[in-house]
Amino acid sequence: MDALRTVYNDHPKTVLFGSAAALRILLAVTFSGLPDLLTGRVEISTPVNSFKRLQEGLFLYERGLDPYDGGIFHQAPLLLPLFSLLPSSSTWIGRLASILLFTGLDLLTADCLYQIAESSAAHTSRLFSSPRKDRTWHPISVAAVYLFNPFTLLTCLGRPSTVFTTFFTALSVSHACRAQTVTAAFALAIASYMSLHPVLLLPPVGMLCYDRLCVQIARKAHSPSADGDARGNGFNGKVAIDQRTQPKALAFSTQMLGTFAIALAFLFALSRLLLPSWQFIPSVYMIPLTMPDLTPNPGLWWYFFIEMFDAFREFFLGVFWLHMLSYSVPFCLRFQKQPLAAVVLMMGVVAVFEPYANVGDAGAWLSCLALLSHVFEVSSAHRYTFPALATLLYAALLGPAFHHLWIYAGSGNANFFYAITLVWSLALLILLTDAVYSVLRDEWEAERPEGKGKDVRQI
Amino acid sequence: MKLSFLLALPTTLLTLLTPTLASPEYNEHLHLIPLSNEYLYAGFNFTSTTSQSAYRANNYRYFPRSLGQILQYSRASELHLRFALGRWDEETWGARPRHGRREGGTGVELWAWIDAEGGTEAVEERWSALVNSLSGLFCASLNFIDGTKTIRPVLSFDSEGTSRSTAGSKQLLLHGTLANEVVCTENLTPFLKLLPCKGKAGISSLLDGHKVFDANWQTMSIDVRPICPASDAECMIEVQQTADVVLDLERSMRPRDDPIPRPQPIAEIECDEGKHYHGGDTCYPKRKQGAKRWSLSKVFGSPVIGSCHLSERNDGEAEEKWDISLEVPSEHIVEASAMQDSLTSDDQIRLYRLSESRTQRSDLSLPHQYESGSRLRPQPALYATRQITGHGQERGGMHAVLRNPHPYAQQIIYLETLPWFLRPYMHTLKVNHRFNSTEDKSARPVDVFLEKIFYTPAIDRSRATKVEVMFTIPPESTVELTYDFEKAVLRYTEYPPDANRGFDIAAAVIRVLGSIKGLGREGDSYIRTTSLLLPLPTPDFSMPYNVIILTSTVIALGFGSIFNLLVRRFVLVEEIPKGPLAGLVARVKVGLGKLRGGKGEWAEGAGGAGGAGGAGGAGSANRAHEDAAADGEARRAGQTGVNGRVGEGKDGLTNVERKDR
Amino acid sequence: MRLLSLPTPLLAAISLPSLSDATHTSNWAVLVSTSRFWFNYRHMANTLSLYRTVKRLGVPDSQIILMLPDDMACNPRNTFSGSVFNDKSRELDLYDQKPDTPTQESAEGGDIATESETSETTPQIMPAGIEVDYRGNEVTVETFIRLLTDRWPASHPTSKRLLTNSQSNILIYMTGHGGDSFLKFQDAEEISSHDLADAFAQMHEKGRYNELLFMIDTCQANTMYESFYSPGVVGMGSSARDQSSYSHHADQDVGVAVIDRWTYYALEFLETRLNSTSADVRLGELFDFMTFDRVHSDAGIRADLLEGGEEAARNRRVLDFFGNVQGVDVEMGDGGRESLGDWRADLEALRRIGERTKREMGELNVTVGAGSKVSAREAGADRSVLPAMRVEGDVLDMAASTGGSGWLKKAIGGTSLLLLGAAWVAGSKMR
Repeated sequence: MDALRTVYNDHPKTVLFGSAAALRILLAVTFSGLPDLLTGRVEISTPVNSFKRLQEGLFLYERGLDPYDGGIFHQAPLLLPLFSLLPSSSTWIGRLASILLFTGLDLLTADCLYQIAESSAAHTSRLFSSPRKDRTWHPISVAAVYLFNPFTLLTCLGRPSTVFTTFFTALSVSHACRAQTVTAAFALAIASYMSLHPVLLLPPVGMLCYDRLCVQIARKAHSPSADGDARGNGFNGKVAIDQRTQPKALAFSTQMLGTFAIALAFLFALSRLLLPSWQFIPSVYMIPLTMPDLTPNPGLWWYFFIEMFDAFREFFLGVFWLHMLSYSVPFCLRFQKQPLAAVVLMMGVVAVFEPYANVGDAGAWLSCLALLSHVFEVSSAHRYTFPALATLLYAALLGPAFHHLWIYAGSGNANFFYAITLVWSLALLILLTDAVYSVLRDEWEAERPEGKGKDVRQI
Repeated sequence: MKLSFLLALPTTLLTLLTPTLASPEYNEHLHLIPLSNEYLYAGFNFTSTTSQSAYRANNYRYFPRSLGQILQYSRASELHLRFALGRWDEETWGARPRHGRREGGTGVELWAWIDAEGGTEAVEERWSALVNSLSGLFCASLNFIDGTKTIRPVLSFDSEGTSRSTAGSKQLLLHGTLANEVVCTENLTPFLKLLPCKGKAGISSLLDGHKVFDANWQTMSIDVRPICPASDAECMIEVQQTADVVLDLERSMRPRDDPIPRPQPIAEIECDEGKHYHGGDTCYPKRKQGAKRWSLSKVFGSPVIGSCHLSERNDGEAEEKWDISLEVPSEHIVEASAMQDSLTSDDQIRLYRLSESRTQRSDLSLPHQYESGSRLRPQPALYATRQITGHGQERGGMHAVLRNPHPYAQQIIYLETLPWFLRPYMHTLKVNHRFNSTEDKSARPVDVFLEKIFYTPAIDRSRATKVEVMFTIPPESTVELTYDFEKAVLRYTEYPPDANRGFDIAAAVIRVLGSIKGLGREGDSYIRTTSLLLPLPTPDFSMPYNVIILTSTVIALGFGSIFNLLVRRFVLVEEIPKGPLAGLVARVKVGLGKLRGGKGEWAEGAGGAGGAGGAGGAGSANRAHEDAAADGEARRAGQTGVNGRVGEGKDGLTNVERKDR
Repeated sequence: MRLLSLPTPLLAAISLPSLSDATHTSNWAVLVSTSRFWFNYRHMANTLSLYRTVKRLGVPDSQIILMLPDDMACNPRNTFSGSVFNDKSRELDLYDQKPDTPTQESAEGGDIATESETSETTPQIMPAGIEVDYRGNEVTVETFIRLLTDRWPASHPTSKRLLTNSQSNILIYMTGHGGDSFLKFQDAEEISSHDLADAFAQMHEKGRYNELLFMIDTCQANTMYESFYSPGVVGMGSSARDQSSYSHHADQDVGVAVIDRWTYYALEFLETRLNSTSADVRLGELFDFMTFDRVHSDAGIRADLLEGGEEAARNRRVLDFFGNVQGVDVEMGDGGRESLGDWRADLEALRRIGERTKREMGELNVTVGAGSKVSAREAGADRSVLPAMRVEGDVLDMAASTGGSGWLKKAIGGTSLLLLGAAWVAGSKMR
């Protein structure tokens, strides 16, 4: 017991990651049917990330047929060579291999989150330092929240390809926190190449990267000995900004965008090398835009566009996408002082409003919320966090039941599952709003310390 | 008669126009086989040919003009159209007639070779023109055969025609099916109208909708093909119309006005004295022995009226000369009225020729007689069945079972057309076989090597899936072909009026290659499975408005609250500027306070609260303010402490430092 | 082509006398049953009865548009397969009446003889068979409106179009389940009285009819024609607002009700009074025939849109809508009637052949002309053809996966991934 404790105290990270990996593999091995069962769940696998569809695409690819010349496979081309190197997942060894791969991805993602949390980007930035920065959780707990989040766990076993997207997004953010512009942009490019929506994160991530860059330079100027993270140095986090040493915003943004574009072009070229035609571009990137495949998912879109009148379908597709786009820039403007918050919240918006929503993205976002742990007290004091979480749990439990009633038992109709997806999205939305509120409140209290814990109005 | 006169009129014109024509032919034939003692197979065949030149010049004699012109402008060199209903019972009826080459899957099936000149777009145009005009001609919804029901088979069908290979004239094969199409009298009417005698005379006068569509199995086919003799003789265009029916004798001989079987009066029932309980009051009906008595006029409702001998007779081939052939054991008694008859060499088949008169009513009747051992029908090449496995409306599996009863291996081609809303997973395709002899089902089946797979995946709403597999079935073994599929959810406008009935999946076409048996291409036979019914998950069709409203509400909620937070700034409650109303409220409160002799700051706080202007929130604001005034610091520390404990374990420390800050 | 010239002058010659006294030159009928499923047998029976009647009175199949949403005749539930009856006596098979060939003894011709008492003296001989123009899922509101306003894609077959002109009288008969100013189509969608009114208005603007008789047999039928506003339209309905219209009787062997009251009596009138195509019966008599004690609901008419109002409407000959102005058997002795029927059948056949030919020719031009339009419509299908074009493209050879090409592919894939990794490293080096 004591040994364990000592071990934990010495290398908590190792213990945590080891246990997480062990848990995943154990689950996959003991319940050998579980992974395929989860793969079949509509909450986890959507037309754009389903592992089974990936297998189909792989099959066509390995036999020289263009896998994108068909209605089944809509995932990024570079996944094909990767999985063609693995043994076929119909065998147990193949299944194990895929589980190992996805577990590895999860660990890497967790590590990225760890680093993000470590680089106190959440509460300390160029222009702002949160009064609650000493309330942030330990990076270990952030990583733990990700690794042991049931949604993440199930998603990992279900093996949807959005796990890749999550990983590369987290990677890009972590590199942005370390002010590595190129890799950040590169990782984000890969993420958006995997699935379209991470493009929306480009502005906030760019902002974050720029911010960290300034901080770093300033710190270098301030104390050459100081290392990258703000925990070490005792002063109140806000570093003296020297305008002269700051990088030019324009140059920076051009560098960021340039890298992003080049990376994307590179990826497309690489994919084209592997495939007989450019068919994959419409097949991968038009599907989320036009949503031809209306398989149920926990999002808001599917039933809406099942029931939509044909005449208005295109119009509402446009409206929904514009609505998603409409968050990116306002967040950047409002959260100038704490760019990481902008990134996390934008991830939340995507997780709630994306066309092929799935539990994986929602779970990943919920775990990322732990990065903003320093403001939890605000939301729990002033907002509806508990009811929201309760609702989330309610929806998560009732969703599969209602889906079963509709599809298998036949004793309920589509409205059952639709209603529950509605509740689910509502709960996520409430959490999102709470997060926004508390981040803003925290920022406000930084300049108005006396406002702490008092009632405020918004005018 | 007028009819003949009127029909002869154009032909005389034509003959005047084009004196040098290869003589157009028309002949019709009816083949009858009593399958077992309660079923009768009747195969009608009407063949008419015309020469290429006459066809090109729009000179039609026996070749149906309407069809000819459709083919000409859709530039289809070969056409096969099928209407089918019911199921051929291989177990009891044996091999299919005409090697299954003249039958279709349930519903309507159409395939044609179309001139490929001008690229795919042109071909698609011609194809759509073809199906549309055919739908007009045959009163069928053939116009529903669009891109989502059209496929391009590679192996399954061969051109039956022999056209002179002219360089550059490439033909494309398109194939479409309508599994949910109901075949009924309105399809038979145009079918008969294509015939020169229009079902008024000759054996076609037997074709009556009431009987044909009362059959257990029925298929109508129209096949147009070019025939070019090996010699330099002129090419001919042949249209062959066949109608095959299997009639339940007992059922079809019921009186038409009262087809409902009713118990016979006891007097007419022949009792079985053999039973021990037989007596004056109990009667066990004796089982009928031998073949039922039947006659054409009873089975088809009317006798054959006249004959339709149009083309000048050339006594070359036998089946052109004979109108009706009957396949019964030689010892059977057959009474033919107004027909001249003869026997084939092997005296298994009797041949009859109708008299030339147009009004003569001819009939065939077989009296009740005892079978001299039931004759065995030839065994079918394969026994094929297909089912959908799995339950629920999310996913399922296809499961086809092909049994080869013969002692030799057979090479087959298995063709499936799947609608786009059925999404097959080809990586789950498994074809394995086990020998019929092996008793234990536990024996692990052996995988079958698939020689060829032609697979065209579906594209949502625009293309159908085509699966074409070629493999060899080992002798006396059963092959199982399985794969998983997923069911799509459609837009609610895409469901038919009876959405919950399900969607019809076209029959699988199995082509058994005869080459192994050394018969060559002609030995090929076709087998079609029954069509399937696929239930799809259905949305609530009454919901559009509700769904639009509810979803939009949730989205608006998120959007509104988030942007509300984003655009407005925080202000402490106290700092909110007082409105006039707020002042009034404050004064009233003060007055109340005076009345009660309450404390000053209470009223003051109330004033602040009133200043909040939030009518509802006044109370709470009031309390909060009061607290803040009193012991805000300590209280907040405690509170933060609580939250801190929620957050992480160092709250004590925090409290301390908070306190002394 | 020479054949075509044959029937037209012939028919013209025959129809000259009747042309002189009619203001219209052709008769068309659109007969629609809008309800699916077996228990709505009676609606199909209604429609088919009308179909038979107009056909009996000389309107050729090519000028009758018949819409049947479901298949009753060959329905597995139908004991009398291939037949549809509108009376429990089951004397008259509406679906396919085998014609009496002259030589047949009249005993078998009973169905014709007994179709009505009076008609025995003058048996009408009509061409056999049935031509359903729209059936099954084709019967939708859209199809119906398109049919009326004649808006079709280029390749739409002529036999399924309503090719009327300003000189044509049209009879439109609809039956099904309806409500206050709407009529359900196949339990899936509705057509409202306003849609109908607008469609008729379009028809009038496009000069697609001379006079139009609209008959509808459904619940609250009279509400369906209340919003008409285009001239020349006469409306007949079976029941007033908030009234149901009832079925007449059921056939125990068929198992469902076989006909609705209003249609039943309309038929009784038409069968008994119009036993020859020269019968001079006025619409007014038909109106008066529909009394409450017959129909059990207030059958209504609307004739104010016709110039001359109701009076004029009452004076219209029923045959102006139900018959065919090209009826050939104006004054004709009993003697040659059967042979005459034969003549008519053959003429009909010839005329149809002629029309088909015209159609084919017409369509040939149209399809060639409107090729672009067709291709636009077939855009989806076009893509569908492309991959199938190159046979080698979509052949999958199972063996290939393990063959050398498979390893090559794997190698290429691996290298591409390595490339990606290298790019990443390079990127991270870059500062």
